[in-house]
Amino acid sequence: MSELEAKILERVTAKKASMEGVRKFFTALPFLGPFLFLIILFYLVPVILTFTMSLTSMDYALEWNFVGLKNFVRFFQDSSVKIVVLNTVKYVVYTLMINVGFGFFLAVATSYFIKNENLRLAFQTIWMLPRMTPPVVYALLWLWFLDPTEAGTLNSVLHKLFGLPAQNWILNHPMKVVIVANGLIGTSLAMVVFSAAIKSIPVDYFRAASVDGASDWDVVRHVIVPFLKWPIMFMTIWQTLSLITSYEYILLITDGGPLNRSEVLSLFSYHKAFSNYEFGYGAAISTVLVIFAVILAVVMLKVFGYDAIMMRGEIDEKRDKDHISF
Amino acid sequence: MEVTMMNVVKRFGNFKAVDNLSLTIKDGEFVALLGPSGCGKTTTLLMLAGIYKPDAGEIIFDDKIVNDVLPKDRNIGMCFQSYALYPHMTVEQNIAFPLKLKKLPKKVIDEKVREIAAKFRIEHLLKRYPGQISGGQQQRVALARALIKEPNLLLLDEPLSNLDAGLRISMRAEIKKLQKELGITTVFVTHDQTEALSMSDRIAVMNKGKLQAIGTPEDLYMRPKNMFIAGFIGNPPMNFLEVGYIMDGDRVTLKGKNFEISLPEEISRTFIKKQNNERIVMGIRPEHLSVGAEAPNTIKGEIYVVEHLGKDKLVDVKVGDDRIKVLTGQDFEGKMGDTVNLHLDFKNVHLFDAADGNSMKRVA
Ligand SMILES: Nc1ncnc2c1ncn2[C@@H]1O[C@H](COP(=O)(O)OP(=O)(O)OP(=O)(O)O)[C@@H](O)[C@H]1O
Ligand SMILES: [Mg+2]
Repeated sequence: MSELEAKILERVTAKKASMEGVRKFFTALPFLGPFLFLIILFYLVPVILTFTMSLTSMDYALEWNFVGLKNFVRFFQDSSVKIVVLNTVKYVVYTLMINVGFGFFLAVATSYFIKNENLRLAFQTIWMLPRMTPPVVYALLWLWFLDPTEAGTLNSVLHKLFGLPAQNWILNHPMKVVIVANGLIGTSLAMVVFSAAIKSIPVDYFRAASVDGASDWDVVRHVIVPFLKWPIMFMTIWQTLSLITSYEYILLITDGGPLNRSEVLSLFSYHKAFSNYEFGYGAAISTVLVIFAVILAVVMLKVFGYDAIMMRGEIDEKRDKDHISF
Repeated sequence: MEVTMMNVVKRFGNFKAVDNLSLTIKDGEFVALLGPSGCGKTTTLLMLAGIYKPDAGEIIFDDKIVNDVLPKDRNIGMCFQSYALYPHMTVEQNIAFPLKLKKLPKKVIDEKVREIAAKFRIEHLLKRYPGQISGGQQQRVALARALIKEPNLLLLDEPLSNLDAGLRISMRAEIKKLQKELGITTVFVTHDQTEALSMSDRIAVMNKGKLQAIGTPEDLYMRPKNMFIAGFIGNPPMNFLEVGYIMDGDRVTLKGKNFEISLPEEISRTFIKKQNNERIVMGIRPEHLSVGAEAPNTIKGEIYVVEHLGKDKLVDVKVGDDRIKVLTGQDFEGKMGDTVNLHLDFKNVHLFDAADGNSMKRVA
């Protein structure tokens, strides 16, 4: 075949492929349609609105006065932004560690070590409770638990056990409180996902490992962790993104205080918009947040090998093709 | 290592998967655990491995009761029905895994892996993942992993069931040779009797969780203890015919609906006596029947179908409502519908109690 012919053939196949793609898109439309519509309505439209708003100096008067990039300039010059960003990073990283790390620990404990089915269920349900509690109630429970007076639950327990004086936990350790409260609630999701993943590992792998001489710890390290690589990555990405954009528990427990000490970016945006009625500035902060989250998501997917997650299983097809017998 | 199971029971809920199993495997012996699907073979193996704890009875390695010893402390090599090769490890890492857990120095591990890989002819696959090699290759990798730590006991759970016929035959020889070379006590689970007969020193036949018999392949074939063993061992399977028992002096006569067979005196004496007219079952293997001239003491029938088995022909003969299979030479010329006379090799006639299925052979 000449080079020209090859080129033509390549073109033709490429064109065929692209037509094929268009045809496939229209075939899939009835199935994807409702979903696409929802995404556009609830994700794309708010993003566009937010971005447009961020170019205005909208305040409680709700007027669209376009001011260009002024809000963004202000954001990068705002002295509180530095501490808020730092808080956000701390909040996301540490909460993530509790979410994913502790969730993994619980999943292994309940799915691998506890062999009794009822006990496992009871244990997992207990950890699910915070999830099922409305955020306001959950936050109130924490406020009550951390009550600064001597009658506060934590204070009285510590006093009885170690004779420690009462202290105002929320005032003294706002970031820690926020991280622990949020971490524990996210734990249950990770626990359920990881538990399901552990349960789906064929039992022969555990048996093979223990016959091979593996202790429980070896089994966790050499069997469970490798098999849970994808769920762990998925949970990490998922939780990171949801942590960056969520603020309701912080709002309810510390309200970002005292003095911005537990203020994170998403809450900062909320405060600017709904406490100070600086809608334009709040929208600008949100825009920065969305751009940042999208970049982070793309980077993480690349780093963790999203393609590999989706294409997993292709390797298996190679199996048996190069059968070499004795 | 000598392995003994004494009155071992394993229950799943109310279901007895293994029922009062007693069995001794001598040091260096190759024992096949043979039985139909679901009869408790894997369960027995897993108890030997320490993964299941027996609900009753004892498992003894040499002189030590090991019921409570963890799998990792039993020094066992096991090859699973599914191979269970870790998909995230290369072939090399899979084979090295048991040694890595023993925390041996890397140099020693590498050397041993190379050695065993050479033995199993998988050196060229070491860098691949299990998903990238064929079933036969996976099986060899699994065997290599089971053997690399030089176990005291090797447990093989139907390791050949996923292979094609050719590879299976060569692997049989391979495993047997290796086992004799290393002298490792081995339990080999299979539901393929040819595999069991060709590979093992002794065969333990199980059915519904119970041990039916244990013996050399010849024992089980020549002197089956009951109808289950008689029907299970041997291919094509033994013919069973319900007959009436008549004792006449020292001669036993077997009275079927359409035939009557008198056993010679010296043969009759090898069976325990029954009441006259009691119903019993006569068993005779296709290879112990032949087609011949019309004569007394033969069974007359009509050819129903002739199967070609390559080396032999298997002739299906209709006798009244019964069917009898006969193995003949390739030169047999009979056709469908022909009348034939079946001659019995009296030495190889088996009689069984119709009620409990036990052999009526006197124990010498
Ligand atoms: N974990 C379990 N829970 C309940 N029943 C089980 C369990 N494992 C096995 N059984 C039952 O015990 C019986 C014996 O199972 P086992 O796996 O030992 O059979 P097997 O002889 O190895 O069969 P196969 O040749 O099909 O592998 C089966 O009836 C099976 O259903
Ligand atoms: Mg089995």
